[in-house]
Parts: sequence; C-alpha cells; structure tokens
Amino acid sequence: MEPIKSAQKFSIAERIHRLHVLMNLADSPEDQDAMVAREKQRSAEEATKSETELEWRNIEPTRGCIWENFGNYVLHAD
Amino acid sequence: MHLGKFRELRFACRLNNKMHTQLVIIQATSLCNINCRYCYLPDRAAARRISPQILEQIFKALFASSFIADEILFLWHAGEPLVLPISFYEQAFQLQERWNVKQVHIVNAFQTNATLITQKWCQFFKTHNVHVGVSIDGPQHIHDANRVNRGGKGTFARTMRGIELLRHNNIPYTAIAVITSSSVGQAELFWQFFSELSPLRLGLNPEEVEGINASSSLHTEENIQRYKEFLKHLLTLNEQAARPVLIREFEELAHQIYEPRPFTYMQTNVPMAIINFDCDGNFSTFSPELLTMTHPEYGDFRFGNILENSLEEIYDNPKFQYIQEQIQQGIRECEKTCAYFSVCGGGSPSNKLYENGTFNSTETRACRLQIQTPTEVLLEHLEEKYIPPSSRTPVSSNPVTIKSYTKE
Repeated sequence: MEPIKSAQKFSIAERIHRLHVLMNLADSPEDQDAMVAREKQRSAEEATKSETELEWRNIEPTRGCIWENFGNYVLHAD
Repeated sequence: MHLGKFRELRFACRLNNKMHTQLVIIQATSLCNINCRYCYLPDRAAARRISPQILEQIFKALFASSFIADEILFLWHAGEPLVLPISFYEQAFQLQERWNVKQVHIVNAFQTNATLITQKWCQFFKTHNVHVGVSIDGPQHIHDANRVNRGGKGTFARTMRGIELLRHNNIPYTAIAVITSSSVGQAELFWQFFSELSPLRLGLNPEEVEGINASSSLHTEENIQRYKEFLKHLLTLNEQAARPVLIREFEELAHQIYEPRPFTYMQTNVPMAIINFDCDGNFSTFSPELLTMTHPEYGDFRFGNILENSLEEIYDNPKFQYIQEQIQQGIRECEKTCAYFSVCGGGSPSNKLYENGTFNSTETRACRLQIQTPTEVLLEHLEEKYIPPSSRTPVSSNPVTIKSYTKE
C-alpha cells in the first residue's frame, strides 16, 4: 500500500486521495492487494488516455448550482 | 504526464463550444405567491407568464441545438411554478415531446414552496414522473422567520400541508433549506425535523448576497464558524442515526472521494452547462440568478432572445464574450490561489459579482459557506474515522498542486 505521509501538511486533493484509498480499503479489507492494483491501473490508464477521451470525461460539470438538487450525486457506498 | 495538458484542454473546451447542457431552467412565471425575506428575485410580485409561442420556440431550438446530449433536466423555477394551472404544464410537456426528435431522456423538476400542492397536482406529478423539490427551512419557528406571505405571516403550515399530500401519495421529494444565522444555533432541532420529514436529499443553501438581497445574516466571521459547528453537529447526528439525513453538500464531496477526478467543474461557470430562460424568452447561462439581475457595469445578463436568436449565437454575442472571459480569468485566479479549487472548480460567478464586484475575482463568503466549510467538516470527520491520529494534519493553507493528486 502507498505509504501515508505524516507530520506534513496535505493539500485538499491529497487528503481526498488518501481518504479515497483508505475508505475503499476499509470497505473491502480482504481485497487490499486487488485494491492497490486497481489504483495503479487507474493511474496508468489516466496517463495514457487520448486528448478526446480526457476532454469529454473531464469537462462534464460535477458540481451543481444551488437550485439543482435532482442530479445523480447519490453516494453509492453502503 | 498529461496534467498540464488537461489544464489547457479545459480552458480550450470552455471557449470552443464543446459543452453539453445538463440543466435548463425555465421561468414559467415571474410571480411567487409568497414573499421570502431573503429572496433575490426582483419581479416576484409581477404576474408575467411565458407564452405558448415562446415555450414552443425554446423546445424547438433546444432539441435542434448541439448543446443537448442524451439527457436533460428541465427545472421549472425562478417564480413559483405551481402558480400556473396544471393545464399549462400538460401543454408544455406535449410541446417538449413534439420537438424531442432525438428522443433525449427528459426529466422535469419543480422547485416549489409546496403551499399550492393539491391532490390534482400530486396526480399530475405521478402521471408525468415530475421530480419535486420543496423549499422548506426547518421547524416552524425557523421557517416562518423568513418564508412569509405578503402579509408577513409564516407559510410553514401551508408548506407542511403540501408535503403531507406528497407523502400521502408516495411521491418522493427533495428539500432545499436556506440557512440563516437563526438556523445555525439549532442543529439538533433542524436535524430532527428533516430526519422525520425524510426527503430524498436535503440541500443546504446558506443565505447569499445576491440580486436584491443585499445582506446575509451568515456573512460574518463568527457566523461562518457557527455554520461550521452546525455542519459538524449534523454529521455527528447522522453518524448516530439509523436513518441519516442525506445532505447534498456532503454527498457531492463523498462522491468525489469515492470516484475522484483530476478536476471538478461547477455548472455555474461552464458556459451553456446551464441554460436559463425567463418568461419573455430571454436566455442566459452561468449562474441561474444572473438571468433576473442587473448590474451597474454589465447591465443585464441576457445573451439573446429565443424568438430572435439561435442558442449557438450566444458565442458571437460581445457581452457574452466579455463576461465569459472575465469569468474564466476569475477561475484561473482561483486555481492559482485557492486550496479548494480541486473540489470546487472556480466558484459561482453571481456570488463573485455581487460580493466582490467583478467576475474576475476569487474567494467569496459564499465560497467559504458552500464549498470550503462543508469540505473541511467532511474531511475532518472522515479523517478521524479512517486515519490514525499520528498521520493527521492541520488544514493546509498551501495552494493545491494538481500533481499531488495523481501519485506517481
């Protein structure tokens, strides 16, 4: 598993990444190796995507306006 | 590494008309039957109403445009939608279907104060699968402090009567509560109320300075801290509850934690992600609130009229170009200076304009209340749960470096 930084300041993005890994591990502790492998694969895939893929995947707004309370933001954790 | 490329692409996409519209807000009427003290709508006493001709042209133009992809949400709002008769919406939905030649998946939603809901409206909601969002601020004494009729009397009883009808008819609904300084000291009562009400989801809208609402009771350092304590209390109560209240602000961030993306986009600062129509057929984009506002420097924020202009013409409109450039400058500044950029995407233009006086500015109090505070509260909460004390950290004041996100 990726080592956790300590005694340093973390950015918001780093804190989210760290929680992403830890929360997924906590959800399926028996599957830690697979989780780490998946994370590595995801990062690798991200780095090789074409510009078009990146463009469309990343441009879609993910934060709604304050009057939007109908979108699919539902958390699918148990 | 592609991340530098991402950044350039992002701005190129924003500028080159490669957006799909997610949300269309239609002001069917400017009239609201109540008179909330914090409302930003200037014309809410005027009984203007959209004509069938304008409505038809909106659907015709939208569904023929390049902005529409596979799915679209129509939100009927910016005036109380239920002021108009059911027959109006039956005709409107027929027009939608008529012009939906590409068979786009349509969702219709009403954001309503619920005071005019009747059994007939419930039947209509069910028949047409309308998503219902109710504006309710909490228990009676909190709600009635601001959500009043034109005689200054509270509307809680009538709102609850509408909600009871929804529940009686098994119609699920979401709720939006405007949070003021009087709510933040009463987290337990507030939570208890919504826990019993059980909306599908609760959105928290901290009172904003916008349009004709010139001040917010939350815009002091002390009340921002009180809001933070309020949110912490809600999370703690949720943690202990068998049936937690699903809170939109936490869900959005939790979604990002479970499925991280290198960037976050805010609907309100991506052009044409939201298209807003007023009842005269004028259209705008970015923050929905802009459609009904004017400003000493910019005038109004109407970028065309659907009876005279195609939606695509917005990109040739000099006012749009100027405002778009200003907004994008503001986002770039946010990216350089704000630690929360990765979860925000650059802030809401209407808040920047009305708090800072310009679009090309950065942090607002609305940012602190809507983005930064919920983010801190949820991250601290989850870190306490998942991370050993020795590895935790004080809040970073450093700007986010995108590279830190994707670990090598």
